[in-house]
Amino acid sequence: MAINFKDVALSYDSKRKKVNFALKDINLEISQRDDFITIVGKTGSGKSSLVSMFNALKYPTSGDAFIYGIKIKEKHPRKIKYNPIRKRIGLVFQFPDYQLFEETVLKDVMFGPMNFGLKENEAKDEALKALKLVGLKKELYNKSPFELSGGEKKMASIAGILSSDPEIFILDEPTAGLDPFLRKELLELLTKLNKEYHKTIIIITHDMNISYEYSKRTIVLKEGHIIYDGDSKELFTRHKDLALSASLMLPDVVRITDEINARCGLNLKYLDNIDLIYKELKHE
Amino acid sequence: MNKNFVIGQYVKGDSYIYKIDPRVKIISILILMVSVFFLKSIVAILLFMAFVILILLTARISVIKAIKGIRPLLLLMIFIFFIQILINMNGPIVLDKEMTLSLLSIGIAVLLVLAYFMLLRYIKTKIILLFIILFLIYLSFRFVPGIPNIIKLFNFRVYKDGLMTSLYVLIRLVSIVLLSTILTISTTPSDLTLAFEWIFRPLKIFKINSEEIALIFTIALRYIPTIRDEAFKIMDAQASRGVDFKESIFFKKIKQIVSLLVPMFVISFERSDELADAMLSRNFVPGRPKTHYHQLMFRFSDLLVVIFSLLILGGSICIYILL
Repeated sequence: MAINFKDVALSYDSKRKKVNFALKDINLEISQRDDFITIVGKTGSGKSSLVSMFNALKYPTSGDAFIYGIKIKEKHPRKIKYNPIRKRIGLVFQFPDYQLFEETVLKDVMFGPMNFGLKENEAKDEALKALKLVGLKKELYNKSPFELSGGEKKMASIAGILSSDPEIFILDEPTAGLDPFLRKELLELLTKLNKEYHKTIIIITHDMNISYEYSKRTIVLKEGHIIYDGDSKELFTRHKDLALSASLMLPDVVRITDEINARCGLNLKYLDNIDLIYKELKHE
Repeated sequence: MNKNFVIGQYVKGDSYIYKIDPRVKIISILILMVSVFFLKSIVAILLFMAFVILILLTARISVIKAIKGIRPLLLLMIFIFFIQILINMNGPIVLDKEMTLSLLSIGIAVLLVLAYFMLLRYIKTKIILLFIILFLIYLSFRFVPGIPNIIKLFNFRVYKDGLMTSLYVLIRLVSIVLLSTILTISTTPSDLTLAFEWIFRPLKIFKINSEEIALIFTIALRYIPTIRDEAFKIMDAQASRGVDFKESIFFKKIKQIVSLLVPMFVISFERSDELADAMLSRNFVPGRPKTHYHQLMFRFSDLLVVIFSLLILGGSICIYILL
């Protein structure tokens, strides 16, 4: 089992007695190898905190959190290194500026694998593989990361995590600030990683279309509690009230189909993505 | 992250010391600090210290906080104390002890040093622990009877003047630090910058614009928590790429610090550019006189405070001249 949380709670000021919990009563299991999960919820619902616990960057205030069999705790009697966890679970932060620092893009991508104990030439191979996978142009490899455009920086930061070959790949709002083409490219890359490389993908997002069209499983957070954990399509088709109560917008597919059904008195099925609806409309 | 993070030592409170105009507070505390240096006798300095503690207590400032203000200087103080004791050799001898070196005492000393490094992991107040251990080592040299008594080291002598001067220096330092802590505990950083802006206004003769300098300080103070939060985020981002900021070899440590500093500088420069643009777009002209939302008010009671501190200065100068 990769991630196993039991009654996990997290608060930021644990010294006081009246505590504000960022997360509470979190029971969660992530085990399947090629899962595609989205974590959704309003801002401040605890998504980012949850994900940083997956990477042992934050520790639960109470409850048991096991990641690959290692219990994460702030103070261990024996010092346990969390690097093995961080090698197997890669976390891409929202702003690429927080991690790019080397002279060249290639060196920056090599930084992760070298920290995890690879030799320089091995790390270089891994880095080149990752850079090729994310589709950065070869001319950019030896440029300074600060000369890149926003989208290229994002891709470079994703390559920086991919290069250490994690089993679970977590992205915090990956599509924020990307143009529609790059967004599509990135999501296709993630699908490819999921299907061909059998990596578990976890995405934090505010875009319900991603959740509906790409992911198999959706976790909905509301005020620090998990209120839904299950099939993505079912959430937006059968449990619409639940989705609306967590202040989520319904995905385009669902809204358009509902509208067509209401206007024409039909009972059409929800299709998988917006392109299919477009095709159907053109057909008739 | 801690949301009620405060810069500096400011603690919210509501007593007379909080109500004094910050300009007056700064000036009168400077006057008091100067007057400390005119007090030559140990009785006078003890009285002054009592006065400072009286302010501390009546102003309802937490004593623990004030003592914490002394802590950064603790090592320096103890160092000065011992240097004074060792160097000053005037007056009658107070203490005369013979120091001996033997196998047993060396063994005990080595064990104690080892114990110090073992305990370091568990105890936070390292300086106090260090001095306890040093004292125990001293005792071992002093009292452990050498089984083979190898060498007689030296005679450890403390002279009366040395003891008095070191006490005198110590109390003077403590009272000065306490005074400045009272100032920083009872004044918000923004009030302090406003006050300093007013105090340095005469520098306009030398073409130094105190308003601009104050603005720089205000902006710097405002961005400390922001940059601190950013640093935490960068550390998280690098930690998830396998950087261990807590423990590692020296050469690796350099690389890790670089991986924190470069993004921090890049982000800060970008932010400062953006801030400058945002200020310009709201018609900020450097050097143009501005009005303030917070107006500093000079009241009658403030005048009394200045007069009182001037009286103390005058008194101490009188004592200095007369004695």
